[in-house]
Amino acid sequence: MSRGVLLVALNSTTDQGNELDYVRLAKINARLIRKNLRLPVGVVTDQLTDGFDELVFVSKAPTAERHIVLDQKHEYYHWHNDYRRRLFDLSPWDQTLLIDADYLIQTDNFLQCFEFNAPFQIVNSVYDPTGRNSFAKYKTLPNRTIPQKWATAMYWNRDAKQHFEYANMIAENYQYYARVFGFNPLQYRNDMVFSIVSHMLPSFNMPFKMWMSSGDCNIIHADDTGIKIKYNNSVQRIKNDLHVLSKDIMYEHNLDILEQWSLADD
Amino acid sequence: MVDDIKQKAKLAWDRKLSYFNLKEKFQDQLTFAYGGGMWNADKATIAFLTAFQDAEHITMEDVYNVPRQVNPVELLKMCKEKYQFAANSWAVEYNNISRTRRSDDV
Repeated sequence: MSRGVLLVALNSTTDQGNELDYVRLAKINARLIRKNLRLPVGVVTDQLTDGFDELVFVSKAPTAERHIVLDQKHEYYHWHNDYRRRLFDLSPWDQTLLIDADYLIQTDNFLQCFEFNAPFQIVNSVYDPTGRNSFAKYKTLPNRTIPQKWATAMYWNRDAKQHFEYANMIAENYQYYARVFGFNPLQYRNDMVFSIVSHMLPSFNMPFKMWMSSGDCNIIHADDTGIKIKYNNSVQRIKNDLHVLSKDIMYEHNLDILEQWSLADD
Repeated sequence: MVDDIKQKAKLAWDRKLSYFNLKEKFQDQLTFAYGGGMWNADKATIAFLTAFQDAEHITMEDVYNVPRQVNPVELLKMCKEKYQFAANSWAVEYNNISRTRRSDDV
């Protein structure tokens, strides 16, 4: 069976004119994935680009604006995130792992998902390596009914068609489900959609936690000993897969740091 | 310049948190797939499997609470390999952290 990793990378520009270059970030992560998982990497994008084994073209649909903080300035951008639910048919592989471009891969943990090969697997728990337990409030959906899953990383094989059909149905009736589960109806979020899917259909939680650094953590260095983050005048070095929430990762000098690191030993 | 120096002097590094993170990572590294199930190569599983080395097959609950038929000899071998690999890398990284003195060197 063929297997590979998909990244979604659709660039956007903030209302202040700052470019969010997800394609460049995805290229960096593709190198890390090849190094650690030794799997082909594809990108879901709307532009021609090199650095990937497969290109999956989509066109950008109109989206709601999302608020972010870049270098302590409040900005807005169009968050093009409504693609995951369509990827079942678009994936070139029988076994697909989908991860966010800003989930930087430093281990081979995800290979377990391919070996286990349950039709649909998703991240269930999150770990905050700064010791502040910043994500404890996201254990369930806002009205505390069902567990919140994280669509940051999802695995599926060819038997997961029903999961994606169900995700499409939820997305088409997003306002209704937002009322039932108490989340914001204005901003489409994959986490909400796939939390409901994995609650309603047989799904498996990934057997390890997703390490995630919150919005105030900035990358200051990266090498083969891991990613060094700074927060609240503290530092930590993380040598594990890390989902970086801070949008400062998109700054050119941060992308330069990550690019040099990903190119080392190539 | 002075502000830069002050900033650097203030920069703290929590060694205990680094040790704690390492232990978390070690625990995440213990899981593996085998025989259609997902297993945790922890001490309890290794001890349990050791007691069944004379059996050809046993039924055992995996990390998703699914009872599965497994070969205890094969599974124990994989558990031991997984445990030793994860524990060794934990020890190496632990030693590196224990030698670190300044936040600059983290």
